[in-house]
Amino acid sequence: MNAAVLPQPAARPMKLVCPAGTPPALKAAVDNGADDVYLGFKDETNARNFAGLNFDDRSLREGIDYAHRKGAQVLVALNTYPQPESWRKWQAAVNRAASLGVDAIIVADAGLLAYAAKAHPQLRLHLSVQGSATSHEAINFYHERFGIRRAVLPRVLSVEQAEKVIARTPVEIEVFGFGSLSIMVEGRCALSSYATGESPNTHGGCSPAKAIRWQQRPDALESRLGGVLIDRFGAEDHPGYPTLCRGRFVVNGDTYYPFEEPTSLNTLELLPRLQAMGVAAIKIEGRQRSPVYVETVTRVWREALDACFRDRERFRVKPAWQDALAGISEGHQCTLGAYHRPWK
Amino acid sequence: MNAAANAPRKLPGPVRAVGRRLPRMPASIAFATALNLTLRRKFPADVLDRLEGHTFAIVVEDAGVELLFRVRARRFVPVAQAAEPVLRFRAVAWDYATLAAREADPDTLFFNRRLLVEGDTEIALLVKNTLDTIDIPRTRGILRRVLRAAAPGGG
Amino acid sequence: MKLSLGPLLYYWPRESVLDFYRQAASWPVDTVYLGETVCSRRRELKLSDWIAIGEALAGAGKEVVLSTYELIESDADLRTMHAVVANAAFRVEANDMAAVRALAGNVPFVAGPFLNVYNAATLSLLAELGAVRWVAPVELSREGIAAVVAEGPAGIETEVFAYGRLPLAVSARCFTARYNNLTKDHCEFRCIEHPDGLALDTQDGQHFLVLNGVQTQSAAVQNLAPEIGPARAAGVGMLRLSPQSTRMGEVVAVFREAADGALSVEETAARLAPLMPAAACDGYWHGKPGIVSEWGRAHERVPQAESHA
Repeated sequence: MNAAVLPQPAARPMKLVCPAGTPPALKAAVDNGADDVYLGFKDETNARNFAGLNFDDRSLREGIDYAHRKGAQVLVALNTYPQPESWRKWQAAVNRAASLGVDAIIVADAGLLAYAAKAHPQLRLHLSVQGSATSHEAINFYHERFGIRRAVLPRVLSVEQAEKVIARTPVEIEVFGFGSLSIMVEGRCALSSYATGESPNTHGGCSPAKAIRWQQRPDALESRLGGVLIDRFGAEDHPGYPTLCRGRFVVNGDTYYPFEEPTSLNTLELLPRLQAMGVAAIKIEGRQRSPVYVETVTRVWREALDACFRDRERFRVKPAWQDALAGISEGHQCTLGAYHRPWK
Repeated sequence: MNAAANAPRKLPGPVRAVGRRLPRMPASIAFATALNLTLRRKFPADVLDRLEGHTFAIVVEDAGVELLFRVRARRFVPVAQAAEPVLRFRAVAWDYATLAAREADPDTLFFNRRLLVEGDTEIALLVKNTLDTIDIPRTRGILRRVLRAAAPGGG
Repeated sequence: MKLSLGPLLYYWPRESVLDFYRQAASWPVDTVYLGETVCSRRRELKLSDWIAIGEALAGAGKEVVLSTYELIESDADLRTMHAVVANAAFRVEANDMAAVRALAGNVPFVAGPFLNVYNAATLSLLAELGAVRWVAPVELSREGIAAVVAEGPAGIETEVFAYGRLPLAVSARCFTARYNNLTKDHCEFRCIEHPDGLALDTQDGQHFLVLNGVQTQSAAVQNLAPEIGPARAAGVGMLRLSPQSTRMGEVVAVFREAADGALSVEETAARLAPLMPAAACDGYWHGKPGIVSEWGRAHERVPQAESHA
């Protein structure tokens, strides 16, 4: 990295935004240095609506107390699209979040943002990645209409493109730093509902567990989603969760991963660049992962963000960080994703 | 991923031999009793209701032991035999212990094929997520100390 | 019930496109959506070409609408979007919120299928900003559409994706280029070799999806022709037919006859079957997985009974 081209040092480190699917994960995030913890209610109002996961009013209240005592903030994801028959459920979820005293809500749907801005003018609004706002003009639309304070960039932009967005919006920009990589634009993918009837937009989950079947055949382990064969694993393969965009299919006789090998996004090496261009916050994916995952990722990224803030020019990714992250990654390969132009 | 973390740590051969000779039922009874003592009260009632009537199998590969239990009336009860459990877990004792101590990540073990899960994926996720929700710091502390003592170079 | 020709989602050679729309001028459609919506690298036609096509179609009595990109990434994409919005001749279909922002309060516009209108609150917001028509997201069921229409603003027209391979997802990455071991920036425009998309099958031989550059579509063809009555009852005023490379004029003709009540639903389905490049689906409309064919399920006994007779 050429230090000479970097602008002035940032005034404060980028915020570390960590996932919590459960109270122990929230504690792990807070104890290991998360600035913000994001989580969801136990229903389809959030995009990780999985059995046994997420928070009810009591655990959320306790979680907020715990986080606030240690100086961390709690963000509630209400980032699915309210369906016509259950609009009131989303409306009620906004009201619950506001009355429990969360620090911000993360919303995708324009109608729900309009409601939240009107009903709770003091409540801080973040635009979810599911809102698919990929340009400063789209982000500024949500800012002008609803006063959003932060937007999460879809994982499709290169670093150069993200930099241009940041320079032209008053809204804080949060980018994904680590976790499972979605190959499709978030909020614009109906592959899961095509096979199963449920998608992130409509039901808060990609590839719902009830639609998954694992079958051990004599020669291979097969994974199916809604009856559709996603992949077959030999004895040496590492099976992944059967998400459609990570499946192996056949095109003109070639069997391969037509969308993406199962990899994890990891942008540690880009931190000096991201900090210099004014990224406000780094998001860690994984509300469906265990407290051990949250603890490991939060610890590594806290250390890396602090090191980068102390001395951006001398920042080097430590092998120990990469080892720790590789140990909990799906697919064991890490990629810079769209941030790295040749990936496209 | 470094090689040490990747290599499953197995019980010594003699232990395995003993394990295979043990009758299954007493082990399952002991295990179900332990579950009732440590976890039952921590399991939300709605989750236990969702698991009601289902049989689960935990295979400790290196000990040659299969533990079978069923959820009945919100309790864990040992089972002598089951045709087809709703879920069957397979791993070595060390990996179960690191999971229980929250030293290992279940997804990582799964991706590495060190934790094999057969059966109903939705119930598997429900169980995983519920276990992730439960805080048993004292039991975990003890487990972590035992693991450290047993680890090479530890103790 | 009005019919529209949706924007061309594939990359065809310039002459094929011009020829297609020369024919379309005589087809019984009310509205034609024009312009490149999928990939900004596709440049067989410039905006001025699309406007020229639009003028010919308008001369033939069609309502012409110019559609914007479903995914905007670069400054160049934004410039193109603004050029479409600023065109003096035709109405615009907005497919992302940057386009909505550019249109809001200035001119009436169409809220495209990629704006994620899943509820009446979002539709009301867009109507306040100037939307006069909305295209339902493909995932929304008949019941869902009916509920949005019932609770939504009065006077806004409702359009559904009634025929064609469903656009299911969009990515920054080009899967046609990936198939050819090329990067998107050096893609050699290979999607021009696949006028109806590049077929993707499962390992056990199920025709599943179609790769269309950065867009992923269903392999099955959505067909709501047997559902025109229920669509009308749900408040739908326009059916979108998505262009395919062959026999599109015949598809339009069957839909027109069916909408006019000249064909029974059985006749409609039978006439369309040989015109379709793949099997039909209609699951989303019925609140099921999109891949399902409720029509096929309900009628599979009829041909079987005949073959056994």
